[in-house]
Amino acid sequence: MKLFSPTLWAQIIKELLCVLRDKQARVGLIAPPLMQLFIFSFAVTLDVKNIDIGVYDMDGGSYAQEFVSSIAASKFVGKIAAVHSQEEIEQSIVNGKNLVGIIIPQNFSRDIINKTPPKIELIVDGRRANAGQIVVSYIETIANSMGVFTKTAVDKNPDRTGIRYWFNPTLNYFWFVVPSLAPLLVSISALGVTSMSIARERELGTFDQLLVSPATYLEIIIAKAMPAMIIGPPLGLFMVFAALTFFGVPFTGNFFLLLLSLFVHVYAVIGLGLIISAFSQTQQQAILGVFTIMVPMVLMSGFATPYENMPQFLQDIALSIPNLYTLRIVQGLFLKGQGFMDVLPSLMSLMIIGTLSLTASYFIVRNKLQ
Amino acid sequence: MPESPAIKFENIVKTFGNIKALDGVSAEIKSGQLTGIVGPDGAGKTTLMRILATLLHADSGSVNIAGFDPKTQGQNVKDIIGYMPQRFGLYEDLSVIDNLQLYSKLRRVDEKTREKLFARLLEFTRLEPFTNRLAGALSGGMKQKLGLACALLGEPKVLLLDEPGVGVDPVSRQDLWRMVEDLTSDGMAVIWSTSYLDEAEKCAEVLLFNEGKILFNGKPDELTQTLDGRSFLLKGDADLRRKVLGVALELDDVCDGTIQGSAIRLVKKSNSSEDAIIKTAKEYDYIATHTKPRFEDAFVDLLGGGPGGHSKLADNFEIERDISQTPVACVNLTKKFGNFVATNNVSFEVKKGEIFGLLGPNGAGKSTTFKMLCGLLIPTSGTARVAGHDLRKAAKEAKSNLGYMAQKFSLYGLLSVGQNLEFSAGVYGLDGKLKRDRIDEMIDIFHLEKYLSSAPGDLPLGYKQRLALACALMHRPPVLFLDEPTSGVDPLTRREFWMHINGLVAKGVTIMVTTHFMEEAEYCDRVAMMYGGNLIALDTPDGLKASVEGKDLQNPTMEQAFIELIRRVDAQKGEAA
Repeated sequence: MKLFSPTLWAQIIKELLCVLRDKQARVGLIAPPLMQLFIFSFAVTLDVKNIDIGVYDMDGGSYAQEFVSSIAASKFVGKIAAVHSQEEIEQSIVNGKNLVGIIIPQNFSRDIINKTPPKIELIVDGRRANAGQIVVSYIETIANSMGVFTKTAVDKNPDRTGIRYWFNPTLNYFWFVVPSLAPLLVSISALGVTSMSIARERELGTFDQLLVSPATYLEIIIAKAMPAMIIGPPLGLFMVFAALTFFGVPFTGNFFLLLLSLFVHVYAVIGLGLIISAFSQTQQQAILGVFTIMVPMVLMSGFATPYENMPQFLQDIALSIPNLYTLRIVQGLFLKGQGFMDVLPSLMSLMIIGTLSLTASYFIVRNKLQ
Repeated sequence: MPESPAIKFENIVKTFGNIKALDGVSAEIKSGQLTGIVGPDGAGKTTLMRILATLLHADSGSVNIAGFDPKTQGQNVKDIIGYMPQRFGLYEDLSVIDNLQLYSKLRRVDEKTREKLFARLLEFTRLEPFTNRLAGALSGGMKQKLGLACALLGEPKVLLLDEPGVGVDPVSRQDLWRMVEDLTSDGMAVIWSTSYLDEAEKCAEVLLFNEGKILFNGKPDELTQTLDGRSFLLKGDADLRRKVLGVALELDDVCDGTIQGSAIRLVKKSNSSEDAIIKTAKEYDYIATHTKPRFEDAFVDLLGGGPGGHSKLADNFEIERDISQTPVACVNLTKKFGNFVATNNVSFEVKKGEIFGLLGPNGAGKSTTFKMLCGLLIPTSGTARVAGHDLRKAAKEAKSNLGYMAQKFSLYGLLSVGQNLEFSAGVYGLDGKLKRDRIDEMIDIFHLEKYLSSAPGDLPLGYKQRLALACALMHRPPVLFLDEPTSGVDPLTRREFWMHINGLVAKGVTIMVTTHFMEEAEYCDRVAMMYGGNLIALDTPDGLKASVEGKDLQNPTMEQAFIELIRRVDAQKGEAA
């Protein structure tokens, strides 16, 4: 018994050989994702580090000093500088020397001793809103711990906010980025491989030879989808492996569910690749096509910036991006310990996108003959 | 009168990787005459042209162009040469006159004389009516003429034309020849490279290239004279001609043979008797007469004679599916691209075991028609059938019955030779032992054993052709489509190819072939001639030639018949308008 007809089987072998025997394709398949894994992980950091802070300590008491030194000891702080007037602290923020200024009022230590809630004033450079926000929350955490340390009654301070981050309590940036990279890099490889496939044959003149053979359009599409289907998921698994070992991200979900999701993800992406390929006459056009859709795909998928922050119409468009769903699945599996029913809606969306785009590519290939 | 040599080169060697493109060639090229650089693709013609145009430097050997050494005095050489590469770098988005303006500035033509020069060149190339047309919208022949005009802007002493006849229909080609003749009579040295051997006969002198070496250097007549008394034309029952050719080619005394219309052309080996030829002719009631040798006969003789007449491929070949008596048919076939009618209401039927040719200048609609017949294009209206199956309704059945060999070498370069055979066999549904047997058979017939793991792109030209044929035939199709199958290949490869085709035809295979190559048209049983999307003539090659024969045109060649038929259509149109 053979799973495929000889016609289809011959094509699948041909497609695989075309990818595997091409030195450039081989390197192009493996090297960039690896490079990107490390570049994205380390360079594209969303963490806030090396923040310079100015402190105007009007109190000078022991608690104030303890507070300042515990801030100075935190990882996010670069330089901490003492300033000696309100004006000076404002100036240092205006000219960008410091991101945050901390003003400790005269009665800070006394308030702690008297068990009245101590107050500090923070001045933040709003031009760097994102980093500023994060730093404020860091400082708040430290201030809260001071409160606890001094045993001032927590309940007595209604102004104080306590924030706990679920699923990623230490807000470790790697925990978010590295698992999310798996679907992203898999889509880059899958798009690369499939978008070349028809374009390469057109450019080299072999596509006509294929079209005059008894191979049907459906078989052509299936065969062209195969290399990405075979190469994509293992590549994704490798990323996941890197996340688990090298970056120490905890994995709380079901491994087979993850593998299934990667397959479905590739299924959703190859249709887009084949559409690009069906429109391209040369490999160069195909590469341009991949770049054209890759950038918005990454930006709108929620990888770099929150999906919810986009205007509504962009959110609607983003619903057609496979990575949006796969990101949800992967984060759910890694950090939230989600099960099959939790990820099913996302899997369904991916199946729909894949089926629609593959159908579209089928018709485009067919209609190109007219 | 030819004076001192315009170009002289000695012992040029040029290698690319481990391929010797030029292997110690020496020659002198004179002013005031046309020198042909003739040879098949890959013989080293373009490499030599590029060395003369200072675009490449030879590995060793000396080159002298009008007293200058291109290596050290490149700028001086550039000022006196005009070079037209195979695809001249016309800016397709600029008009004809803009292209001329641009190239005249690049060549630093004096502004005062520019306008005069343009006027002269436009008149010379007959492009005046099109000065404002975009270069991209010109026909292949007009582009070539504009390229020539641009190459002539610097008023060169030496003009290098690299395969100017490729992709140009016979009418435009005739124009190009006329222009070149005018230039040489003004004292210019013109070099014309070509893979068409019939063009060699028009040159004053010829350098005949093969595999990086010069086989012959001199007047073409001198070469053909060596064959005096050795060329024969055999005439008799036209239906037997392929069989007689096959028998004759197996004779020890025969060096070369081809089909020429309804006759057979044979060349006997030197110092051998003609008795065997005459005896064989008699056996089949054929009459053998001496005929004037052609340049190509001489070339094949120089190469040591053509292949035999027995096709091992055809021996084992049995058509598996018995198909109808009209394997290929089209009825009112029409294809429109927007407002442009590429194929206009074309109908014909091809008989079983027939070689049917589609002939026409570029843009005449022959490729469009051909593509509709093998399922690469969907007709706007009308039907195309292969083996009785409508290509629209039963594409898979129709396609399993046809083999296809593309004009451009189109096997998978990333797959090895063996993997290509595996793929072709598989994609046509062969499986298991049958597939193995068919592949082994092809490897055996075409001697592909030692190349199995090579990339097809690295094969010698002849082997590429064999592999392409093997891939098209493993499923033993009753119909074989050939798209310009032998353009640019050397005459030996072409003969071997047609030897197999003749054998297949004897077994009942039907052949559809497109060609713009007049000699190839002679191999056909019938030729459909297309022009402007219309079928303008459909007859045997001899019938087409006879139809134009008249007082002014006696014993026309295929090319002359072609030009005349097109001229008549144009004349009719002129009257109607």
